This record gives sequence, C-alpha cells and structure tokens, in this order.
Amino acid sequence: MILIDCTTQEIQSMSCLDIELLRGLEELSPPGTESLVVELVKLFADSTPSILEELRSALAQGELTSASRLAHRLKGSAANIGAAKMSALCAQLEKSAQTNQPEVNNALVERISASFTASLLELNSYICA
Amino acid sequence: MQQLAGNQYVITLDDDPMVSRIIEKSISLRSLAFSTLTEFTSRVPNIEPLAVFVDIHLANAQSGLDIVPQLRARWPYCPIIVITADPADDFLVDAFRKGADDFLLKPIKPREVQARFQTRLAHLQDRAAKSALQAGDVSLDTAHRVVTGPVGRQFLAPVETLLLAQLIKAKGTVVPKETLKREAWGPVRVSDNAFYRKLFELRRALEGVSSNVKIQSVYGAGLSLDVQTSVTPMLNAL
Repeated sequence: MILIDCTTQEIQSMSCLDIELLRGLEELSPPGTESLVVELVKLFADSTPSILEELRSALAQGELTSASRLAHRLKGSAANIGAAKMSALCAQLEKSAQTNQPEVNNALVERISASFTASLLELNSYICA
Repeated sequence: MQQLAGNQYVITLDDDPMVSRIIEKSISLRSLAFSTLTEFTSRVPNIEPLAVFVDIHLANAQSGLDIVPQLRARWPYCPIIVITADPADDFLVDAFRKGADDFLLKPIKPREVQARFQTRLAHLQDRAAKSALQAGDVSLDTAHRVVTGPVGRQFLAPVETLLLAQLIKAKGTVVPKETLKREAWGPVRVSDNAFYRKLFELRRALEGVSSNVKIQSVYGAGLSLDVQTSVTPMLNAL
C-alpha cells in the first residue's frame, strides 16, 4: 500500500493490517528460523510508545513542526510493519500538525494511539494464526 | 540472486531500526545500521560498503540527503538508494541531483529491495569496469574524475582527467603536445601556457597518489607516462 492522502471515511473503512505486506515479510524467514515479523513487531512495540509521548508533548507545547516530523516518522514505521490504518492516521496528523488546530491534532493522536494498540493485537493474532 | 562474498555488507541510515533488518533479510547481506548522521559520518572513512540505503527524513530534523554528496565522492561505484515514505517527495529530485542512484518507498517491500539493489549494483559495477584506466599502481576513474594510488586519492579537473586518460592509453609511448591539446580541449585553441599550467596541476595530483607514475617531457616530441613497477623486498635481496 502506498501512503497517499486518504479521506477520513477511507481510513475508517480500511483494514487495520496490510496482510499482503506481512506475507512478503514472512517469505524472508525460512521454516525453522526466527520469524522476521515477530522480531519487527517487537521493535515496533518497543519504539512506538516513546514516540507517541514525544508527539503528545510536542503538540502540547505548540511545536508543530516537530509534531509533524514525529508523525512522519511513525507513519513510516507503522507502514513497514503493515499497520496500514495507523500509518494513514499518522499521514493525516503529519499534514494537520502543520496548521494550528489543537483539537483536531489532539484527537488524531488519540486515534493513532488506539490504532497502535489495535494493530499490536491484530499483529499478535496474525503471528499466532 | 548474485552470490556475494561473506565479508561484504551494506549500510542503512534510518531512525527506524526495522528498515535495516528488512533490508538485511531481503538481500541476504549484513546491514550496518546507523540512526544519526553524526554516528554514520564518523565511520565513513573506515568502511567500504557494497551499497548504502539512506532515509531522507531522519530524527531531530536531520536530512539523510546532506551526506549523499560526500558518499558519492568517496564511493563512486557504490549504489546509493534513498528511502522515503512520500511518493511525491520533492526531496527525491534533490536526492538524484546530489548523487543518489535510486529510491525505495516505505513500506519497504523485500522484492523491491532485491530488485533495485541488484540492478543498481550491476549497473555501477559495469560502469566501474568501463571507466577505469590503470597505469602501474595508479588507477583513473574517468567517470568521477578520481585518480587513486597507494598513498592517496585526488580529484581532477575535466581537462586533467582527459590528459591523464590519453597518456595512460598511450602505454608509455610519447604523445605529441598538439595531440594532447586536441584530445583535452577539442577544437578550442589553447596556449602553451594554459597547457603547461594544467600539466603542472596534473603532475602535482599524481605526486599525491603515487611516486611510481610520472609524466615525462620528451623535448621536441611530446609527453609520456613513465610507470615504475615496484620492486618487492624479496626481489631486491636477490
């Protein structure tokens, strides 16, 4: 999935995970070796909470450029692990953070945070399936 | 996939640690991961990677593009592939201007990494073979105008590159001054002063890379390249 501008409706109807991408990553781990997807999910789970905190803090202090950059960073890492919906929400925030709309931006951060949790749950289900 | 020696590696500069792992697995080569420009820049003089993957947008408002010209100058035949999450990224144009060979979009797709890496590597290795001239322990990369020898590497001006290329191709035979002028400057008329000034610069550059290759003036005839083959201590003893 290529990250282009998605409307809010499109994001709502979007699947949480990009299964095709995850299958492509699975192919890189031959049977009997440690799964790359498992390793990547751990990296994603470990690194994301601190970036989300930085993002909240940047918005609270009105550091909009910094917030936009952090959203961009999360957009890329979410996309790399197949968390498509979260990535699309981050793309929205990356843009909206460039304009001073505190309510919209704060609401988006919370949706990203919820999407992160949902993505981790679905990724765990994918790994265990 | 092309078989590569076990000690070869690529570099990934990205603040997302997942990227390096995906690249490593995709091309079955070790990837040295760096997350900041400072960390990477300090290691550049001591490494010789097979390819470099550079994220355009790094943490702390750093741009991976800032290091691309330096990498291109240092490793003329090393594929430099930039990474971005934006398909319409204006920075891509800048990346190509600065010397990048190709790009990858996030999410990073293993098959795309393999294809772009292999294609760029083959292309640059082919170019390296075509643009490399050798004289003794000195090699001239005509595409990037770099002359390299046992004691250093020097960048040459376009005219100096053409002069040295002609002298190397002549394989030690004398090349008339007028022939060298024609090859280096084309139809433009050039004074002897200008010619000798360039020759002086070229001689100085050669001295900076090797003591075994020198330009000799043959009075009334032209110039030639004198290549001394180094004598090993063992042969010396005999």
